Amino acid sequence: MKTEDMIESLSLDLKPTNVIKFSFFDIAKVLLAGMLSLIAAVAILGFRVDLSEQLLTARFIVESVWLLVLALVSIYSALRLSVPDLDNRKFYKWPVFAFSIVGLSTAYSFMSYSNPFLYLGHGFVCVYEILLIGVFPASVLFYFIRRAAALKRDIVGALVLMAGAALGWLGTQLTCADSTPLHHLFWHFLPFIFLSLTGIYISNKILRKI
Amino acid sequence: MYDNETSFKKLMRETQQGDSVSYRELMLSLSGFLKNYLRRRIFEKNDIEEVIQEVLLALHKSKHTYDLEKPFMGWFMSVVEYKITDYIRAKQKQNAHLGLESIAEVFQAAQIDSDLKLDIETALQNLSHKEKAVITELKIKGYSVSEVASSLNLSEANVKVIAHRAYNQLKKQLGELS
Repeated sequence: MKTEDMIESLSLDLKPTNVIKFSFFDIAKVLLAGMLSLIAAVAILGFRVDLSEQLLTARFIVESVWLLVLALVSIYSALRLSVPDLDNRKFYKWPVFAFSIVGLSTAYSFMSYSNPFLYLGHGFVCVYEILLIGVFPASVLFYFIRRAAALKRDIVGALVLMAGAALGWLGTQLTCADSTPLHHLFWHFLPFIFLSLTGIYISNKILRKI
Repeated sequence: MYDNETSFKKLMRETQQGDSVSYRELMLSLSGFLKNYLRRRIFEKNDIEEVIQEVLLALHKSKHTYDLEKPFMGWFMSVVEYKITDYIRAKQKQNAHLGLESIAEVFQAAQIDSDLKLDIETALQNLSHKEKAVITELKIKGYSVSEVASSLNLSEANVKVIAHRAYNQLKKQLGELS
C-alpha cells in the first residue's frame, strides 16, 4: 500500500478525539484505591500488636514515608511515561532514586541489628498482603495508562506494579509485627522486587502497542 | 527548533477536532519530513516507506495523547525514535534468522554445486576488471543498474552493455568448462 493511500484511508475514519491529560487527581484516585485495599487488609489481619510503640521509632517512620514516596513517584512516572515525549528521560530516574533509598534502608537494618541472620520466620501472610493491597491500585493505574500510548511498555508496567507493591509493603508495616531484618528482606523486600519485575512481563499483554 | 512547529501544531489541533483536511495535510507534510529524516537513519532504501507508514499509523493511534501546550516535535519525534528502534530490532532478528538460513543454504549448495561454483569463479577471473565489477555489483551484491552506474562512474546504458557482454562471455566459458 502506498503512503498516500494509507493516509487517505486513515482520514476517512477520523473523529474528534478527547485529549488525555493526567492530573494529580489521577494520582489521588490510585492512592485512594490503595487506601481502600489497605483498610480491607487491616480489617482482615488486624493491626500489629506493637503499632503504638513502632509509631514512635525513627526506622518505622522513615521506612513508611519512603515507601509512600516510592509509591507516589512510581505512579507519577508511570502516568508521565505513558504519553510520548522526548523529555521523558527524567521520569526514569526518580523511581530508581526512591527505590535505592528503600534498598539502602533495608541494607542498613542488617548493619544496625546485632544478629540479623538469626530468624527468618514465616511470612507467607506478608506476601499475600502485599499482593492483596497492591493489585487493586495497580489495576486502577493500568486502567488509566491503557487509554494512553506508552512507548516503553515494559518500564511503565514495572512502575505500575512497583507502585502497587510499595503500597502493599506499606500495608505490611501496619500489620506485620516481625521487624527482624531477614524477615523484612525475605518476606517484604523480595516479594516487592518480584512483583515489580512481573510488571515487565504483563505490561506487554495489558498495554496496547502503538 | 523545527521550522514547521507552529504549522504542525495548528494542523494537529484541527486534527484533534476531527478536521480530515488538516489531518491529510499534516500526514502528508510529516511523511515528507520523514522521508528526509529517515534517509539519514535507515540505509536500506526499500524499508524507508515501510517505516514512514509505521510512524504515521502510530501517530494516528496516539493522537489523543498530544497535549497542545507542549512542543509538537518533541512528542512526534519520540514516536519516530520508538518506531526506528522497533525497526532496527526487527531487522536484527530477521538478519540473525536469515544469517543462519543462508549459512545452511551455502553449506548445502556447496555440497551439491561445488564443481559449478569453481567453474563460475574461474570464468569470472577471465573477465576484464570492469566486467567483473559490473557482474559482482549487479548479480552478487544485488544493486540496481542505476546504483551500479553511479558507484562505478558509468552511464546506465554503458552498464547494460558491459553486463550483456560479460554474460555472453560467461556463457561461452562455462560451456567450454563443462
